[in-house]
Order: sequence, then structure tokens, then C-alpha cells
Amino acid sequence: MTTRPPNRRPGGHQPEKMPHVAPRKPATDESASDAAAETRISFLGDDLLLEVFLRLPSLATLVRAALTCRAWRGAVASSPSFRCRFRAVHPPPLLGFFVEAPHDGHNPNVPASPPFVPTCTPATGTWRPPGDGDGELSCWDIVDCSGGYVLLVNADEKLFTVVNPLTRCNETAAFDLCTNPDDSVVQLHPRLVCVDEDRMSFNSMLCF
Amino acid sequence: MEVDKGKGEAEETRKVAEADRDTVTLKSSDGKLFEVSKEAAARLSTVLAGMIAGGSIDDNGTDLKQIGSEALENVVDYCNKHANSIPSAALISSSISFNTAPFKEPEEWERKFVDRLSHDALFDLVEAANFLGMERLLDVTCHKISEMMKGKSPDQIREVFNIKNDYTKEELEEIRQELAWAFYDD
Repeated sequence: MTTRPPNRRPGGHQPEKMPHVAPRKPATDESASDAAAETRISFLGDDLLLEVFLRLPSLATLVRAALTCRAWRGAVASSPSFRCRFRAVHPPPLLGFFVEAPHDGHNPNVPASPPFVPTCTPATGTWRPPGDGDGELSCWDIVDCSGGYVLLVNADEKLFTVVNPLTRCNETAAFDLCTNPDDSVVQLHPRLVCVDEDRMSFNSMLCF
Repeated sequence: MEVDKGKGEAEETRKVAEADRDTVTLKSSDGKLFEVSKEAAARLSTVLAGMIAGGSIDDNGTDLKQIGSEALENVVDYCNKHANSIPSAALISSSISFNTAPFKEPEEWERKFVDRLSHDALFDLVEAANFLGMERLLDVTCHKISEMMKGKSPDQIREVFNIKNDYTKEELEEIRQELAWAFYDD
């Protein structure tokens, strides 16, 4: 079992003297030293900073904290083991629902893309796949989902796309479906396999 | 072993007396001495437990050269307060399964204990707790700092900790668009 990395623990009985990480400020009695506080937190070092981050209540809070400065972003970005621990203590939340109404071909009364109803962010709009909504009505079906991504297939346009519904279209990629090699009908059963946590690091596996 | 109470403080029995004392003396980097309950020190600090078990506690003050007197005073205060509380089985188990167990919320007195600290004192205490292998104190102090970030925007976090924004405007805009979902309320 791994434990927190021992950060500057004494190796023997008498801890070695080491240069302190921060220039010691003269002791003051001001308890409300917010204004006087320098960037002392930066001197904690990445290990301890990540211990703090680990106790943040949500992924969104972690993202905002990590975007405070480059050093903090770097601390999170450069530690896969931290992200692993963060995920372990923050089980994935329910992000939302796709509401897929039964549709029949090109019924104009049915939304072309399955509406996504998020549970944790305001519904600021319905996710729309590329090429959708310009009068050209086409239907997308949810085929698979993995690691926060959803695989959608558009049989009419011979396209499939992978999308992160929370980020709307930002991480969408579209690929041409394999053209049927000998004009025969090919039954596709694509599956989404996330390689790792990095966005867009996924493969789609096509099963025939 | 029988200890002669009459000569308990005599130099020649110092070592024996030290073994029987229920406190240990710690010396800060600036030479100040602090007494702490031996039981609590051993229970709360893996490093002090090792030193006590190894017989390397110095009666005249065990040097902790990396810890300033203010932080060490807080460490000792925490240990002594903890000595009066019942050892919690939950605490022990949470430290064992540290990697996956959700963190245990600080108790009321622990919350008050860290609430009164200035930022500097809090950061020093984090370092001291880490140095001494004080899992629970590290948990409580890190939790306190994380609470200062909770529900805040990057701008507000910078303000709280007086951090310089070293991103360019363009970078920030790009990140904001890319991670728009993170900027909604939790």
C-alpha cells in the first residue's frame, strides 16, 4: 500500500538541518495577517500543496485552484498519482442524463440530437453535434459511453463522433465511417475505449 | 525495574527517569523548550514514536531543528489537547486506508484550533505536521487550507493567498472556454 510520500522527514534520530523553504518573517502578533501574508503557500512544495488539493470537495474546485497560477497547474498536471488519488476519494458524480426520445427516421418533431440534461451545471443549452441544426435534419444515436465521453453515431451522414457533454462541442471529433468495401451492407458496433484520462485520448473500437 | 523515587531527579538516574516520565521535551529551531505528553506524541507522530521507541529522546530537549517555536508550540498544543480526547479508532483506520478513504471531517475543537491561526502559522504547522509524520494534524491543517479555496474563482483564490497571476489574458480566456464547466457553482 502506498502512503503519502514522506516529505522531508528526518531519516535518523536527529533531523538534519536544512535550509528552510521560506525566509522566516519576523514574528508578529497580527492574527489577521491576510494583507501581510506573502505568497507563503507557494513555499509549501508540490507534495503538500497536493495534499491540500486532495481535500477539495470537487473536481471543479480543483480545476479552479489549479488555474490560479502556472505552478499550481503544473503540480496537478505533472502528478498522475495525485490525479489517481483524487479520483479515488472523489467518486465520479452523476453528470446528467441524455434524454433520447423514440424517433422514427426524420420526424421533424423529434430533436435531431439527444438532449443532455446536466445535473451539476446549469442547462445553458443543448449539446449539438457538428453539422447539425442547419436545416439539415439528421439523427444521432448514443452507442456507447466511457470515462465521461459519449460515442454517437449518425447513420444518415455516415459519421460518428465522440463528445464530452459537459463541455458541449469543445472536444468533439468526427470521423468518416468506413465505407463499405464491396458495397455490401456493413453492420457496425462501435465501442468507446478510453485510453487514459487525457482528453481526446480515446480509441473507438469497431466490431463487425 | 524499581525506581528510587527519592533520587528520581538525580543526574545518575536521568536515563531511567526519562524512560518513566510521561512527557518528552522538544526543542525548536530557535532553542525554546516544550513539554508534550509522551503518550500523545507517540500516538500522533510516527517520527516521535520512533524516537521514543528508539530511546533517542533527549531529556534536555530533543532537537527539532526544522520547526520554529511558534509551529512547535502549536504542535505541542495540539498533542496535549488530543491527549485529553479519547483515541479514535476511526482515526487510526482512516490513516491506514488513507489513499482511498474519504477524509474524516475535523472535530469541532480541531476546527477551532486551526481557525485561530494566521496564514503563516497554518502553513508552518502543515510543514511541521508533515515533518513529524502527524497524519491527523496534517489532515486537519490541509483541510483548513482547502476550505479557503472552496467555492472560489481563481481570482478570489489568488486574492486569499496573495498569488500573482502569471497567465496571459489569452491563455486565461482559452482555458476558461475549454473548462467552462468548472466555473459554475459546485
